[in-house]
Amino acid sequence: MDGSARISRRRLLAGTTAAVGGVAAGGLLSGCNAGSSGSSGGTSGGGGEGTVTLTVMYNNNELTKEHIADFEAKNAGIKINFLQTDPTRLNAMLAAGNPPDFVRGAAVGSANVNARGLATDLTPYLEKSQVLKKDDLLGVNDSFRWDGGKIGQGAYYGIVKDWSQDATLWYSSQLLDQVKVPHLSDTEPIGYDELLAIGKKLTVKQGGKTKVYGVGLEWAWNLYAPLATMILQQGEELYNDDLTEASFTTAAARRAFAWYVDFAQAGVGPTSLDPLPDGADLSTFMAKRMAVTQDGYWYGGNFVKETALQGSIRMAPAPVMGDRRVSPTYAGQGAWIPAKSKHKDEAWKLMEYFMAGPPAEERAKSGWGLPALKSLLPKLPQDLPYQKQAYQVAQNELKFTGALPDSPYVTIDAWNIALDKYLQRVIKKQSTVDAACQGITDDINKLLKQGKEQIG
Amino acid sequence: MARNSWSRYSNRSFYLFVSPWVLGFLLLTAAPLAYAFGVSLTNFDGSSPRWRWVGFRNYVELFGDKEAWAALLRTVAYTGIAVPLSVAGALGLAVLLNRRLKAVGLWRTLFFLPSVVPVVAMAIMWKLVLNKDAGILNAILNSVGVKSISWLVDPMAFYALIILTLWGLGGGMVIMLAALQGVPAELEEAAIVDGANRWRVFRHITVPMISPVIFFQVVTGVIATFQIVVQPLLLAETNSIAGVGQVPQSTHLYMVQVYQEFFTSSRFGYGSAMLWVFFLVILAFTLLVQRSSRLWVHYEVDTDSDR
Amino acid sequence: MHVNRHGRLAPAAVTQVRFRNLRVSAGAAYVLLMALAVLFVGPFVWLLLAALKTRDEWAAVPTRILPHEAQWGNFVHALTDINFPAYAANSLFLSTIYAVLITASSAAVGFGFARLRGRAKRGLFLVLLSTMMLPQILTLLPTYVLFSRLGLVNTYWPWVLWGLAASPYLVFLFRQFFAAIPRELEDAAIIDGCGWARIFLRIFLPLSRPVLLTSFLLSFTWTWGDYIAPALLLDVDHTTLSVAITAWYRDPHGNAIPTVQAAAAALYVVPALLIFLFAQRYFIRSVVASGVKG
Repeated sequence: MDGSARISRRRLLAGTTAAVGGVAAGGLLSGCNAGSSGSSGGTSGGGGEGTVTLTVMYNNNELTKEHIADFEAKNAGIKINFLQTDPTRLNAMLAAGNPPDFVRGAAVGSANVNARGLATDLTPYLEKSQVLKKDDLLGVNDSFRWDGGKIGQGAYYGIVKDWSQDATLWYSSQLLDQVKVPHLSDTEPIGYDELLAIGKKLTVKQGGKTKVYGVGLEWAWNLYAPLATMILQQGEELYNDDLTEASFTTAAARRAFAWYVDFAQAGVGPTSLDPLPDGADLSTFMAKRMAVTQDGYWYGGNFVKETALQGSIRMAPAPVMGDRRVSPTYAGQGAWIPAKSKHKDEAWKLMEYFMAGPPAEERAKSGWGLPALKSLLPKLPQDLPYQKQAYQVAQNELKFTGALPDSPYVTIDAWNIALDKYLQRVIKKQSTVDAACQGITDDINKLLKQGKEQIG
Repeated sequence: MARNSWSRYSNRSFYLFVSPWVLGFLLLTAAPLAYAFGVSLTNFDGSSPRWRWVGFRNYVELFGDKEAWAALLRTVAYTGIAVPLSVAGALGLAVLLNRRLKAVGLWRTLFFLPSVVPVVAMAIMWKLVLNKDAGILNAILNSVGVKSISWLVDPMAFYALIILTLWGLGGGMVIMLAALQGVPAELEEAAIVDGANRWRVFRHITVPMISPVIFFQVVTGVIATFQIVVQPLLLAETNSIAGVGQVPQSTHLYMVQVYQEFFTSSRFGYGSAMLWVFFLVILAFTLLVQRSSRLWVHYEVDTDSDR
Repeated sequence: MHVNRHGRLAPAAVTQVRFRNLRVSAGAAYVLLMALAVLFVGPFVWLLLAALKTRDEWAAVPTRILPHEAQWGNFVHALTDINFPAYAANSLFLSTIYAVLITASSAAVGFGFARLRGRAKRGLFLVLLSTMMLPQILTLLPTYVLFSRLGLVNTYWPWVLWGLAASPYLVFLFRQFFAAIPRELEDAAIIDGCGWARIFLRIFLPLSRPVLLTSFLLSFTWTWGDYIAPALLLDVDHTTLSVAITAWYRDPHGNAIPTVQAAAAALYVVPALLIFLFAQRYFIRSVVASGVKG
């Protein structure tokens, strides 16, 4: 690329050969809990000789070669051209007017895509389908709905492939026993304040380093979602009615923010100021250096082969701040079909296959997440004791699903940036909670204004 | 007389030799650039057809953008430190390795190694080395009694970035090596025979003879260092696409800010305007270096004359 | 471009000059080099160690230096979890084509700017330098649209075109080197009646072997490690190793497996290293000029 030629010295100085664009970061994108709704698509190719070539942008560990081969075998006349998920490429393809036909994307944060008219309305397909039916959809799919003014109602612009109640907790009963903290209840949630207190008891420091972390919040993955959850649980709103203004200065928001500051200042878990080497809690949790981690049901999939750990791992309901018990999903990864796709019917066939066919059953059986269809819930694994326990907890939590607020005029990423920036300042005692909350409100409102002007 | 006919001849030859680049530029660069300039006059969001012309409003807004200015100053400071260190370091290394040491080939490869390492691997490596608790750098510091430093957060992140940049010296070293090879031996020999010591030979003969290459390193160094964006992004402790948000403020360079505008705020129009202004800034600094070069760069051939 | 004169001088003086520039005593030089080498290679060694650890050891505190048991399996995974050889072949093919083409074109264009005269030379050179100052991100999108309209997405043609178009950086590099060559060399050839093409091919190119090699090496390494362009333009089957190792070492739920990624990164570096190891020998060998200077 001409750009490659230009980059030259930068590469020498830095020893790298790639400038970044969104791609490098996109390449580091991890699974379900990624906060962004950025998804990618493939270009729709024209097939020759009566075959339709679907361009699909997805992750190849989720929509595998076997799945593709199976789908092609069952649908003569459709071939799939696979592209790896890549936000920059998706952008480019959308801008060039030649988007993919089937694109990976998350439900939370999809308002931005939907409000810009980039996605196809799937409701007519849902109503006619024999396999993927509207009544079978779990509430989580509502985050993909947009009626021109509000999320959660109106047309369906995407389908979720799997999800989890990401505010739930996983803990090591062994580490809890060591400091005589009682196991968390399977059905009753603990309060956040209690969680922090337990976390302090569980944290072990040695000579300036933290040997065991009390609680991990996957800080690097998402700040917006947990904070928004806390606000919802206190019965407060984050946005005004038409989603053009946000307020982070409500008492609920301040309480949530302050809790995060206390958490960081007490050194109970990794933060952006004291991060983990790989940006995720998993290795640390598996190395028994973290007692509690906040992740969804899908986390259980990590332990299927860990026979040593399995005996002491348990799942607990999402903690609550306030009096409303809400256990939402932070993402809800799924797929959508771009409006400019030239092969929507065929793309829908892939949607049916992927969301209700063999891949969906496989996903459900693997325990790597909750399915988005009611009919698939019984397929979740219950062989190992911890799987049974997790299944019970998750089933119980289903009653408390809620949709996180989502405005099309600002991205989740932008929220995360603002939140982290001000959190760092307050943690370092360079600012106060009130000033920070006001700052966040101002920053976000500025972005909302720009976004509204762009989208109209 | 022979000169006159030659200068006409060389005119045509000049265009012939330069044509690959000229054609390539027109076809592959000029058009995208025109498009990019056009975008800077809109509020394009990168993907949807919903955008409007806004004239020069993006540029006006940029003048009042405090974050952008702060990022620019940081970038200038960073470049001012990193480039001289890099050029001097590369030269020093090349000098050390421009001799028949045992297995000098291996030595050179060792130093060149970092330049060949791909971005992702480098990021993994350094994040691990620099991690506060699990990193080996702090482990070494601890063993000599120094407390663990948080390398990847403010304010040390800035210095970590510089270290990382200097680590890639190998590429520059290679170019300096090639340059040193080209210094005609007889000049140095003559000076030594005349009684000059090694340092004077180096300072008064070698350096001037390779000054075109040093100039090259400085100019390209300035240009490239201004534009770095990969390293700050990948050094940030992140596992998700919200990577920009995790970049510590001290390494939030101008290009990082641009990246944020492009991919987090979806402001392709504003981001493009930022880039055009940045281009002018880089141009200004490059011209500065160019002007100064008259004082210290020595060419065998007058490259500036065109007639 | 190294004019060898040693036939003319007494051997003693030659030996002195062979060890040119700063004459640090050999011992001190070795010590310094070793210290620096540790710093430079250190992170890479750390990467290799990481490639041999299990996931828990990788994140262990206090820092574990050596793995309990070397996990050579990580390397096997690195080679088999994705179709490593196929992607490596793609990378190799692309990098070589690009490096050869761009070295040739940049040498020619650099020669033009260094030794020839033309009315627009100063202006054109300024434009050339200026293109280096434009961040790639600016033209990322329009470049994609351009290639998409030309139907060249998912082909290797963009690299061929870019290679033929020369690189401003390399042109600049060649120009600096060519400008440092004494005029007398070409004067002699001109008097003999040579045209510029022959002067370029017969005199300047042979003199610039280190630079040609450097240019090849650098451009090969760029393309070998480039992520952006292949990620943007190539589909899963044709893409390069850099894209593959960045994106695809995942466990079933999408978490990156850092230890296997480290192993892949270690393997990834090898070809470029080998090329350098081989090529750098030319940086010692003196290139004999073909009859000059009276």
